[in-house]
Amino acid sequence: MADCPTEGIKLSFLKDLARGDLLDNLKLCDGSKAIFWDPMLKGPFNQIIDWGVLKQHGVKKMFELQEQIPVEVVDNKWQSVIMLIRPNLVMVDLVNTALRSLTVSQREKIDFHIIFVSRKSTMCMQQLEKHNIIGEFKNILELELDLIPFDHDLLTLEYPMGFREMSAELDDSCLYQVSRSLMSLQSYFGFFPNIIGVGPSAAKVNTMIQRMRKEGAAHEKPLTPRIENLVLIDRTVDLITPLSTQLTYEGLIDELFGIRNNTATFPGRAFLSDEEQAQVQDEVKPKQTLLTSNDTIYNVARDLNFNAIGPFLKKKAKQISAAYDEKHDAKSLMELKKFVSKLPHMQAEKKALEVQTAIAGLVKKRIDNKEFHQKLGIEQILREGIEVDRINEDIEDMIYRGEPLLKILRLLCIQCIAADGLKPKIMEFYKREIIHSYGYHHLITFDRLEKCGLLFMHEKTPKKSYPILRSTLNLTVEKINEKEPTDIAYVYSGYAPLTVRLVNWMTQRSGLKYLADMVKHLPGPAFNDTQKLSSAQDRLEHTDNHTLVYFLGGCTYAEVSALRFLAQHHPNNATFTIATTKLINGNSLLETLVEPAPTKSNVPDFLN
Amino acid sequence: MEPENLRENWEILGDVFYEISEVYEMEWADKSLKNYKLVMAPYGGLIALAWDSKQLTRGQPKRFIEIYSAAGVLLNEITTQYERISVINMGWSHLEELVVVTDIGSVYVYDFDGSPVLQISAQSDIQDSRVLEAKVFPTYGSSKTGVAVLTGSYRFHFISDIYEDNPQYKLMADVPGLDNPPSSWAVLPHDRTVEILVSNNNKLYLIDRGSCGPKFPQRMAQSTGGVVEMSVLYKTLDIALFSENGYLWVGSSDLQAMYSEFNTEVTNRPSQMCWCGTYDSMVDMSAAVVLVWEPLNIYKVVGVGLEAECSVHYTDSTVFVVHEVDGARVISSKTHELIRRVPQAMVDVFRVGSSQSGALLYDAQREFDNNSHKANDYMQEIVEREDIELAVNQCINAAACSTKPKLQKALLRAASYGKCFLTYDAPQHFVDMCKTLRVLNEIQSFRVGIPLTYQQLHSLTIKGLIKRLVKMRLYYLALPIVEYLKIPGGQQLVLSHWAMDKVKRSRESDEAIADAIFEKVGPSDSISYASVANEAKNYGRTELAIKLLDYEPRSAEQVPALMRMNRFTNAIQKAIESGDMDLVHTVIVTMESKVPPKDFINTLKDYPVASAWYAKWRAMTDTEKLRDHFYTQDNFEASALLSIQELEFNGMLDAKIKVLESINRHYIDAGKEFEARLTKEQIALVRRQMALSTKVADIIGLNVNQTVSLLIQRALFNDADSVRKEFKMPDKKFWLLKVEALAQTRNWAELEKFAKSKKSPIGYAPFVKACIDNNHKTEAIKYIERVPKEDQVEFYIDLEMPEKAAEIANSAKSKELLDNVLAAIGPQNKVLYEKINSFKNNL
Repeated sequence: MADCPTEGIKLSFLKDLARGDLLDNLKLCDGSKAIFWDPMLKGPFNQIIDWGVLKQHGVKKMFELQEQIPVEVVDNKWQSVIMLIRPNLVMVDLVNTALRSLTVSQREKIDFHIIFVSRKSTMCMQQLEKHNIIGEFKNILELELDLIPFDHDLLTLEYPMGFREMSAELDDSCLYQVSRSLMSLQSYFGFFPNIIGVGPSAAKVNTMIQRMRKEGAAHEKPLTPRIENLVLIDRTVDLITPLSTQLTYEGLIDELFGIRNNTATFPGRAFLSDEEQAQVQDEVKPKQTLLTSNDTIYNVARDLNFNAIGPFLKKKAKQISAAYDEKHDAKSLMELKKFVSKLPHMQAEKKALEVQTAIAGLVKKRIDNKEFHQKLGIEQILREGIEVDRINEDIEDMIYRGEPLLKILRLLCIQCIAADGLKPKIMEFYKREIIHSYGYHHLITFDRLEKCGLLFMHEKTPKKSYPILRSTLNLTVEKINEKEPTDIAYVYSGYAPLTVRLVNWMTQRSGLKYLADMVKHLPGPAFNDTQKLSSAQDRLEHTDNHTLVYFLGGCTYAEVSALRFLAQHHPNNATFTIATTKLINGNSLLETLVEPAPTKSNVPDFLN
Repeated sequence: MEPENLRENWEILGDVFYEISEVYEMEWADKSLKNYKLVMAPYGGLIALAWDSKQLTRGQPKRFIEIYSAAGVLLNEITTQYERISVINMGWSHLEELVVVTDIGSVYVYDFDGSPVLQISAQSDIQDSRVLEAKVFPTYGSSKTGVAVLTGSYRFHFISDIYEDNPQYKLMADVPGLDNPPSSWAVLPHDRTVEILVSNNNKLYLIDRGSCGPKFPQRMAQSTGGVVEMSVLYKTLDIALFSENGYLWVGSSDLQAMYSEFNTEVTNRPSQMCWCGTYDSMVDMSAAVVLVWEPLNIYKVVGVGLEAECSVHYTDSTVFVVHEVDGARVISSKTHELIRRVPQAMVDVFRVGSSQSGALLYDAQREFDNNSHKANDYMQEIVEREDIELAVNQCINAAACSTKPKLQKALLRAASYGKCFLTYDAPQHFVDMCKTLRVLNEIQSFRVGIPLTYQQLHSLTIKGLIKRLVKMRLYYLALPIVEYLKIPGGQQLVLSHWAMDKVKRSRESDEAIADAIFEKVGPSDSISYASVANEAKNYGRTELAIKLLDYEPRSAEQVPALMRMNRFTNAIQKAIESGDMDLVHTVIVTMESKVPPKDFINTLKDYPVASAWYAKWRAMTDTEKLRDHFYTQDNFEASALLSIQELEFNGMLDAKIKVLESINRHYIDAGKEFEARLTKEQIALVRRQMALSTKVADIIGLNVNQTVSLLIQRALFNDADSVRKEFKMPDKKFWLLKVEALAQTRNWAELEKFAKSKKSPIGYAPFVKACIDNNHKTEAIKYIERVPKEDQVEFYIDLEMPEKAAEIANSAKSKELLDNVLAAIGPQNKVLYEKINSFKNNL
């Protein structure tokens, strides 16, 4: 699929702003510097700034904050040590440890600085006080960093615990951050004339941004709105989508290898040629690959169903070799010159193709097995509502076999939602078996899953929400053409993400009316608000119908692909920018909820 | 207006013109000022009148000071509860509050409405010796106000800043030989110190806190004699000294530079001496000194400068002269007049025979109005000089200097006429001036009574004017002015003062006041409702404060303010509404330390968001507090979950069982029967493991499956079986576990025995798979016959026995299975490859 056109909505300036802010903060710290990173921040900042630029600004060394301070840290001498963290207590405690071991070992005085991203909190300041180190810091700074552009149409807060906070813990911290990020977007692109949302978190964010607007009303700048709609989607409205296995190229890479900060790590051997593979006996270093739209091959491949990848890569290979063959046809000097000028691009493309072919091979190897196909089969029948009201034998067997808990929970939760809740007997059976197989502490896991609406009991008068939504919104689609898709359902080979179906209707003029009937079947409230624009902010003629879709609690790569597909086939020529609190898949979503096993000691390895 | 009329009031002193013009006829109409002290605030400010102390005796009315506008309109009266209060002197502070110094050295400060602001008592030595004379003076460049007194023991004391905390009089050095009141003295306030210049016995002394030295004015003629009167211009620290021989010496206050010396030819001591305008030798010598001889019914205006001259004016009653930056005001029982140097712009346009372009333009416009061709001639002249812009500006500036609307209009019309001849358009100066003049005329009106000249406004600044209007509660005037002049932050300033004032003074109901304020200010963030609320709280109107805080849109202001009023419930609610968890945290932490535990617990019960946050925070910082929290909130399930989280993998078993029993109880209390049952099972498991631990030490802490597996691995089959029965393990699961465990420990004999024990509920594929996974080919083959053919094919491929796989696939007559084998072996194995192909062909 070609570029998703987002005329006028350029996002890269957000990177420039954040980079500028970081460098401004660094200027406040004198001399040679060392940075200690919150491990959760290093990736996001990698998107924004190069190591080289940091070096130019006097940064000599960078470390991740951890319990054990590496020896080299203690030996080195810097004038300034900068702790760059998110405001949470774990990080503050690590800062304390690091600071103490540095002050003990260093005879010369170091200036300590702390930079909170995006803002310091009273809780953290109190904790610093409790550790009695608040006076050690020459500067306590704040660095506003909310949405980070991961691609030309994709923004993320990279807020890992967002879903858990907002759904299970009544904690609005993440939603507050979302609201602030929306306020800052509005300060660049004008107020969103329409705000449409579903789910309790969406309603909360809407209230918060209206409130924040009031707080800053006196400093409001009149701006012509450039983003017509804001769509807020609470992840709890559609949990089946992230629980299902994504079947786009990018989605599968994420499911199997994990994409973090646009980067995935693969076994290195796969990237060697056959001869090289034969020669190299030693272990090959894992290969880190940056996966963004800058790679012309990946840019198209990412959104394809994996079954379309083979033909696509073949076609590309043919095109490239045909392009090389032009050399032979080039008769005149001019023609040759033209050919040579195209060479660098061709070479780059050839290289990219090789890399993607290797990755596709790795993915294929991982999915060409019974288990994977069985899993997809279970997902499919559950989503179609087949026999969801009884114990699924396949899931049962998986528990007996002790397969990875996340895999089991993903299927179990799909069954539960598709069944509109499990009957007590069935629920108790699953829970008991999981506890016997995976441990008593998973009572905590179940508690969290229940709070998030991933697991719930069948009610006497069931809402029948999923079955109704499935049929009215046409969520399960038979006979999907994976190679030449005509419907977004291709991203899950026959299942259309509910979220994207909703966005489709929300962005069509008549759609909202249609949606109004459905609202009662959606979990949580739905609303459609308009924001007052000051007279100076009169609407421009809307040649482009641009929508910002903000996922509260995370979104999957498959959903991103589906929205890109939607933009290309949209009746009203809608274009989308996608924002999310975090890019997730079923595993990373559930990982935040699963209680870790109690700490073990002296347990034979084979029992793990 | 005819220039001739205008010039009637002009008189020349040296080479500059002075004019005296009437500002108001005083509303107080013929009030005799004879027995009063009068002080007037600068910039046409308020007038305070006090009965002369000598006249004040027992039985006098308690009302002792009256406050008037500059137009003589009585605004307020100040009363005192003291039987006897004797005012020595007064002055206006830099905050435009009235400073009153009494004979015992007490300093009272009053707001313009007569309400007391503060009071300073003097030390007892001052009180005992009584104050003879006092002066109120500006210090630190008019950013503070000081007071100096001369006591009956002929010593000087001063307070450098009456508004500081605990101000106290400080003693100055003694003046030698001072055993009578000095003939005159003046305060010279510097940035950090205060000096006093004292004239005694024909000598001048300069004293500060520690020293006293004689002073000799530069170039003062010896014949002038002793100084009997002094006047200081605080702004520039210039001084005028009048000596007993009638000479007026004017110079810098350090007496090092003399600007002029003039013989007034009057040797009587003047009853008042006052600067008129500001002297600046660098720019323009514009100042004069006004001397009043009340008994003679005259006052003289003496120009300052090398060729000083003087003019004489006659009065018919007591007058008071007050300094202004560009002149002096003369207040009498009938009128309020302004003496000032005629501004240069006016002189340019209106001087007799002026050939300035501005004068020509003024004339041209008047001729034009008369339809006279002369207009053309004048304009021709200006155009030839290429002076149109200059002419226009002269007219605009002259209009600015004028205090008469009629004249302003005439001049602006001339300017506007001239603008037509300009080839470009630069309206800003003109428009600004029109706007400013409208404002000046409005506030000058009798009703308001603030007669500012343009120069005074320039020195005071618009902001300063607004501050004064606000101070005088003229909000109805201040608000339109800031809106009209579009003053940044002006609206905010006026509205917030108005609101604060309303809160302070209104006797209406809390509701009515809050509504009135909201109605005016609206849902804006231009004023801080939080600070208005704070004011209300300071005046004891907490309910009103809370109502006002409701309108505060900034939670970060609102919530802390509510907490300051101990309204924690409101605070927590607002904090939650804002979504800012940092605020929620702040409220919770403050509450926990400030309110009784019972209230804290109840509040958390009412606000689940707060309760959840508290739990989350305590989970990270203090689990004991967390446990208490769940207990007080009757949150049994959370208590159970907390205990589960704290269970150690291999702690003391007895303790572990105790904890589990408490978890069980929590679950029962929470009505969670199923979880309680699971907990019971867990207790049984731990008991079981305790019993088994003598045989298998590492069994502790395992889950049910692991327990069974481990027992099988250790070949304790009976124990495994009994655990299986106790925990009702499904057959399928037990079989899977056992096959796996036996294969792992390579107990092939037992595996075979198990396979034969009865028909496997899981089929035999797991057997084969377990053997393959544990690298035992022959064992795997033992079971392979018993699995379906398609699985056999796969297993044979895994066992690297492709021929066998092909054979089975062929016997199953499955093209698909044959293809699978083909895919697995690849074309390298040519023999088999062809064989399979032939199988396929034969199907």
